[in-house]
Amino acid sequence: MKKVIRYFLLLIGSFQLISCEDWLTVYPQNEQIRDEYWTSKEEVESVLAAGYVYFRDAVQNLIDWGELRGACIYNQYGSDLQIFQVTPDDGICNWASLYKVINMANSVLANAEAVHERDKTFEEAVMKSYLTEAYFLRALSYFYLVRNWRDAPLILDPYETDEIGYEKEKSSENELIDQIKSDITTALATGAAKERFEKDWATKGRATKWALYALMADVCLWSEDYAGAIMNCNEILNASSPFRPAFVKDPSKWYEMYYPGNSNESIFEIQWDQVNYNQSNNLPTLFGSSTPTYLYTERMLQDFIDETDITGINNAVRTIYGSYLPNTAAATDYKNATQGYIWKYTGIGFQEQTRPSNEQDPNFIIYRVADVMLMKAEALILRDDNEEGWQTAIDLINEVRVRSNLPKIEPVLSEIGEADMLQYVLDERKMELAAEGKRWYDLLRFGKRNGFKYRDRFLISEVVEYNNTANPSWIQSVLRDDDALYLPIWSKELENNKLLIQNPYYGIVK
Amino acid sequence: MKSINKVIGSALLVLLLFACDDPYEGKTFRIYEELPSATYLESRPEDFSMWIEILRYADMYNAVNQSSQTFTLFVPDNEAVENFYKKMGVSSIEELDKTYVQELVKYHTINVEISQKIFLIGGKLTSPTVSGDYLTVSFGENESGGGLNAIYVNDEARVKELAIETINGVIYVLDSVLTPLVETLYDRLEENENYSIFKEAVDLSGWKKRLSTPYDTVYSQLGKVSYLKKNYTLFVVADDIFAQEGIQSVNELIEKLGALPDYTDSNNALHKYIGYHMLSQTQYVEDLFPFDGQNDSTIIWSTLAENEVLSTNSVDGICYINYKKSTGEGIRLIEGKTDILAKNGIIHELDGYMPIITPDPVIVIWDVCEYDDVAAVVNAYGAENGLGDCYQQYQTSEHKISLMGDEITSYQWKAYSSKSTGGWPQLGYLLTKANTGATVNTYGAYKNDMLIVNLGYMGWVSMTSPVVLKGKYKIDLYYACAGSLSDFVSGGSKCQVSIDNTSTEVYIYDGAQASVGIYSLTLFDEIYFDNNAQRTMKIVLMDPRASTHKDYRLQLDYVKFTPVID
Repeated sequence: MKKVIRYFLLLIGSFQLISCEDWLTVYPQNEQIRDEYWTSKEEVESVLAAGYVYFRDAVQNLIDWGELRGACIYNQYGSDLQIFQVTPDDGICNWASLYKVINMANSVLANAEAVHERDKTFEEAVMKSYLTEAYFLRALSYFYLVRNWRDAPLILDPYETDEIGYEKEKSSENELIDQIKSDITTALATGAAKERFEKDWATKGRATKWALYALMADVCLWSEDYAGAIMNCNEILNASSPFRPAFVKDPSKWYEMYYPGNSNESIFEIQWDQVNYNQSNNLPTLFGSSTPTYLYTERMLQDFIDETDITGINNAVRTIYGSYLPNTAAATDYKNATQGYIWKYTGIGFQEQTRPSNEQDPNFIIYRVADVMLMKAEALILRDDNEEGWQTAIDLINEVRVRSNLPKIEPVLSEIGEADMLQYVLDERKMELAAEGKRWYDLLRFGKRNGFKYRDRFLISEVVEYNNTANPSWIQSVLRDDDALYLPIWSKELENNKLLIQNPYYGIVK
Repeated sequence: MKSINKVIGSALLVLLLFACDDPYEGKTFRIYEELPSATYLESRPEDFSMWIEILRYADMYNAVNQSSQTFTLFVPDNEAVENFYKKMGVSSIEELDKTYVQELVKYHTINVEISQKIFLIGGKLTSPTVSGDYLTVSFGENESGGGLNAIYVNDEARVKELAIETINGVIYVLDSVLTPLVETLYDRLEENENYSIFKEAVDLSGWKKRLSTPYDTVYSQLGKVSYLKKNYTLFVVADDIFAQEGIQSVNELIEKLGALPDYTDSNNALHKYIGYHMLSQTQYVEDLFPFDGQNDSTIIWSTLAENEVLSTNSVDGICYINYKKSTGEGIRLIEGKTDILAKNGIIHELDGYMPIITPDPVIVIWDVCEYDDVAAVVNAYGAENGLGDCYQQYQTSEHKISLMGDEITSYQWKAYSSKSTGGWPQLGYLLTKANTGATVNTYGAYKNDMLIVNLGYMGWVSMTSPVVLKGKYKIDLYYACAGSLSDFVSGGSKCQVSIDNTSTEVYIYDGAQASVGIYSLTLFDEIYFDNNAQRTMKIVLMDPRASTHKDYRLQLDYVKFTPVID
């Protein structure tokens, strides 16, 4: 038998049929779907649902990959990511969770049409809508792969039988980005992507057309297509549909994004529901103030303290009791805090009270409107060299700031340069999207664009300043190596797929 | 007992590595799937055959192959050794003196295993080489990239392969041979023609012995002999800088200083001048200059000239020595001529001749454990316990290190019976710990250490401060408290504290909390010193519980002298 690729274990069996009510509740019994399986609409549904379920399994990886190198939060029990010492033997560089999602998506994309032929109840519109979700899941997974490994095998066919060769070489970043864009474009072109689902949670927990636009904007920013990024942001920000996600302007509603979650502002979030489906997660305990794994670094805590100073405790929104909880006995003593607990996943509002035991199910937000606004601001700064575009960028940043009761920034645009403008966006993203799995990708994107023009300012300086666990000169040295900015391929993966070539940076590590 | 075994073990190893004949020749070694270090090197002759020859010539091949010991080997590959031969003008290792080659191998060998993780922390490695030196690890960037591609040892050799695991340790492959530090500070003065006046002044003023002796031999009352490494920082003035002052010879320097002929007397102006250019301990540039974000800041350093201090200042981001606010001038280090390492310290070149002056008064923070003999004892403890140079370095667990009368002269004390348990020595050094992931010690103690005082009722300890400049000061004592001291928090524990000849009674722990942390009390609101001098502080334990309470002790962190401006 051919070598079994790590991320697709061969198991015999088939999915249980599930009803719509059971969406996201049933784990698939296997990861390989056999030919004879595909007979009904429900079967397509269950495989699509499995894609979302597998994304849940990836969430802690998404936090580690997206945050620890970015240095605003750290794992207090240590992580090779935050000290920039990942080796190919580290489980943290196992990408299986993403390829599991990709396989589910590939299975739906490969078989939905055939099922449509077989099952007359499977209407074309429904089928096409499912396809858009599968494209989204595949594109999002590849986008995480690109941002973390740069090059990775591009697999577009499902693993359904043993007859397929499991060994596959890497594709380049450009090839992967092209595929991601093509998937999103294809999905949007069908016009079948939904603006909303029947259930509120599904509108935020399954891929809508808003999610596709947000992802496309993000991919365009990554690939330095600023006009594309602006266009896709506008599809959301300028939409007139009553079902569009909308920026929540009321400061008092800010925490509702995290509790209860699935807010108006949300575009796509990974879902759990403990009360109805007994799905819980460990995010409230990984974060929070009990014995958390993740904490804000001292420098990030200082940023929160500084911002709390501006609004005062009573008007604080995204700082004290919002994004962070100080470790002081009294809130008024916040300036003396030595530890900043991450509060978005543990609290239930602007207070110290924590989620009840039957609500250990915070969602993990992938995209929300404030993120898209700041993406647009970033793209405007980079596309335009004129004050009008830059002023729009500043206005967008200010909308986010005003929502948090912060004063507007009012730079004299004729006197500042692109880098200063970008610094505003980067700082705003840091504070607004703290602990949402974005920081490292932000620093990498800001640092690498335009031939690493801003490597020193936005990548090295920021990481050195915020990181609290590694030697600054080591960080500087590592971040000067282009290959070191990406993860190694897991050693077990290399053993099983002989066509893979390790990232050259990790070649000399024994 | 364990630590004694360790000491004996390392002593034996040193003996083996020092021996002229290979004591393990002909012995067989256990077979593992992985190979012992030397055998591993032999398995890659294309890379390491020449280093193997060197190991054999130095009679150390079998020593580093023992399975009962672990090593970290720094191994230059064949290309590196070839370049080394070219540099030395030889074509084979046998052409070099065997003792030299043995020193060279010892310099490339550490007798503990240094993992990749520890190695990549960077800076000075915490364990010395078998030759007694410390290697440094730094990171840079080169044409191959950064990070793992640009790791350097002693800024001299690039690491080509990291932490290859063998059954008895790890191997780091280097692209060039490391140059052992064999020169002392005095040798460095001697080898540089441009230091001739300074060197002659050192010769005349009696400092030569100190600058050319890396180790002090200490004989304890119990007959124990120990070798304590003594390091200095030397601020050298080159001949051309002297010339700018019109000084062309040592005699002209003597004339300028107005020194009488008794040059070796501690009060002689030439003796003091050279002493003024010396600090105890190795202080790299980064240690000398306080970078406190954007703020200007100053540190006062006691020099080896009695009662004379110098200041290092960071003003508008520029580093000075003895910066004077009134003139806006100070002495600077000469770029590219700093951090010159020697076996027993470091040299920095000055751009001025730096006569003795009194710096502007500043706050003095006196860490009550900051003494050479304490550092030496603590680092010796570190070496015995696998902690390396642990003085003022927090650890993963706390260490209470007894300070004994035969090794320590910086403290005078009188001990009476004490009931306290829990491993608190009567007089000791508390090396703090930091929790995993934390970057400060659990107490928040200054320089990660404290002095333990547990001398019983009426016991006392006295010690001298760094030089405190003439003027009026407020004096505060900073100490630690902890949960086990809760009995003392209410009402405090009476002590008599005197600074020079002025005494006061204070209640330590009064006002503190019975939880781990650093607390302070004011000893004197205002005290006047009429000269620049070191101050003597004496603490007498006036609380009877010092002899009866199982948890009694003081944990003294530092004393702060704040100038009072009228």
